[in-house]
Formats: sequence, C-alpha cells, structure tokens
Amino acid sequence: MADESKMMFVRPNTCHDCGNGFYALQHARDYATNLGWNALDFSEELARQQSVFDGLDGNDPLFLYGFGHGNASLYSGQGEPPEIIFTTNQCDKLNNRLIYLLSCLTAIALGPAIIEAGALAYAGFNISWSWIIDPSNPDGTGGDPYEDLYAISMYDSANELWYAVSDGDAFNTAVQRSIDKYTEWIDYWFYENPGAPYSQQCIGILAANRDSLVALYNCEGLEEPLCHTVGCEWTGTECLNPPSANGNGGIPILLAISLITIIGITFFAVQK
Amino acid sequence: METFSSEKKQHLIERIEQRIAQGQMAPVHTLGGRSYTTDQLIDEIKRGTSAGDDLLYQEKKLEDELNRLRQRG
Repeated sequence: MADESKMMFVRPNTCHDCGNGFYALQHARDYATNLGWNALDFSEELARQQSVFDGLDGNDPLFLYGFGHGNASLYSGQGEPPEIIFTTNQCDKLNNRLIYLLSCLTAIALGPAIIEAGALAYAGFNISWSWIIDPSNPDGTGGDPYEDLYAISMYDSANELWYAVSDGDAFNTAVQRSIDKYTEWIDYWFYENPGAPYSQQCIGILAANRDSLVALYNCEGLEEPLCHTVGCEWTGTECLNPPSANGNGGIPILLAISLITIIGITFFAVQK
Repeated sequence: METFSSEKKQHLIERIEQRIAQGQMAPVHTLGGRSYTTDQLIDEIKRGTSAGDDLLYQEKKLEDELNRLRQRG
C-alpha cells in the first residue's frame, strides 16, 4: 500500500501563464506541511516526467496534487512547450493513489484512464479551467494569485479540495468542500464586492469551473480504513463507490429513470 | 457541455459584447495553455472554436447564477 503520510505536489512554473498555479500550490503545500504531512515538492525543474516517475517510485505517496496544462488525454509539467507527464497510455504509476489534477479537460479521458490504471480516486475538470487576474496587477500571471483581487477566488476554490484532504477529510468530502468554496466566492462577488469591474465575469468563471469538477472512484476491494479515506461506502463487509460517484450522480439518475420506467409500465398494464 | 440554439448563442454574445464595451471583461487565462484578450474572446466565439464554446458556457453559468442569487434575494 502507498505511504499514507506522503503527498506529492507537482507545480511547474515556466509553462505559459503557470506562475499563478505554481504559487497557488505553494499555499496548498505549506498548509499540508504545517499540519505535519510529508509534502514532496516536485516544483520547477522537478516537475518533469522522469523526476515525477522517480519520485513516485521512490516515495510511494498515497496522494498527488498536480497543477499544469492539460487536455482530454494528457497532463503536462515544466517547460514551454510543456513536457508531458501523464497520458492515457502512461499513467500506471498512479495506481493505488488519490489524484487531483488542476488542469484543463483531463476528466474527459485521462481521468477515466487513471482510474482504469488502478488509482483509488481522481478529481479533475472536463472543461478548460479558467481564471482572470486584475489587468493592473504588475506581476501578471507570474505572481501569487492569493495577492490578486480576482485570481484568489478561482485558485482558493481549487485549493480547497487539497486543504480538505490535508485536514484528513475523505476524498469525496474534499471534492464537496471545493464545490462549496466556489459557491462561497460566487456569493462574495455578488453580495460583498459587486462593484468590482470584473465581478460578474468572476461569477461566470467560478460557476463553470465548479460545475466541471468531476470525481471518479475505484472502491472495489478496499479494506475498511482506506475505504473511508477515499470516501467510499463501507457496508460492513465490502467497499462500494459513493452514491455521488463520477461527480454527477450518474448512477442515481439511471436508477431513477429505470424506476420511473418500471412504474410507468406497471401503471399502463394495470390500466389495461 | 451544453449546446445552445442560435438565438441563445446570439443573446449570450450580446451580453459579452455589452460587458466588454463597459470595461467589465478582463483577459481570460486557461490551463489549456491559452489566454484570450477581449477582442479574441469574441473572435473565438464567432468562429465556433472550443475556446469560444467555453466562454459561452461561462456566460450561461453567469446567467444561471445571477438568477439563483436574485431569487434568493
């Protein structure tokens, strides 16, 4: 089993517009370190494929939080163009781990591939995760987003998932905390700072980011303590995927549709 | 992601153009590795690119959230 005391942070800084995310994950790393976690910081030149693979092999962390550019089938790290780290065909090293990728679009194909490769849980986004900064900010996208009036709302919402994991929350609870944090920031822009020039744009981006967060789980066969860590459902004898698995309630919706269909057919038959 | 009728798309574009005219749209950055100035935002939408679709989606989400918040009072 992977080492439950270790978290890996992957945070490149030389890819296009990556400075903000680099510093954002520094906040998440510091939060975890202050809580006593063994935080493995794969930043700057360490945010490359071979370093990350070696780090996973050598340290075997249970948790990984990666920031960087991505698309449906890959996640990338340092450099411009950025160096590819994980792809749908090369993500086996993530098996038995809990993964969060703050990146674009990976929930479409890479996330499912990561679960297929044996990861316990994955969270990521199925659209292009977006943010804005104050155009007058002299640091632009190279600085700490927590010091930018607008960018803090997007990055703090995204980081909330990892603050929750660091607090010891189950992964599905952490996903919900992040969703709730996006909504808190939406409320902030509506109720507390509606006069800021880009407040409405922030609301749209926060809502789009929030509603594109997808969580996938792989609970089968887990023993009880790890079952709870992942946020799966422990029945007393076995570990099941949480009711809201896949982040969109797909299974409950299918069940509801099936039930409605059965009731409809039964009602129709009785009427005849 | 949602797809929009041509009427709905036009409505969302007009809202974006209105906010650009009022100086209420900042350049957008994405973790897909692209950034868009306000001029490029409209261009991407009109060309029907995936980036344009993302921007329309954000605008629709803004509309939904404003409705939710106004109903709450």
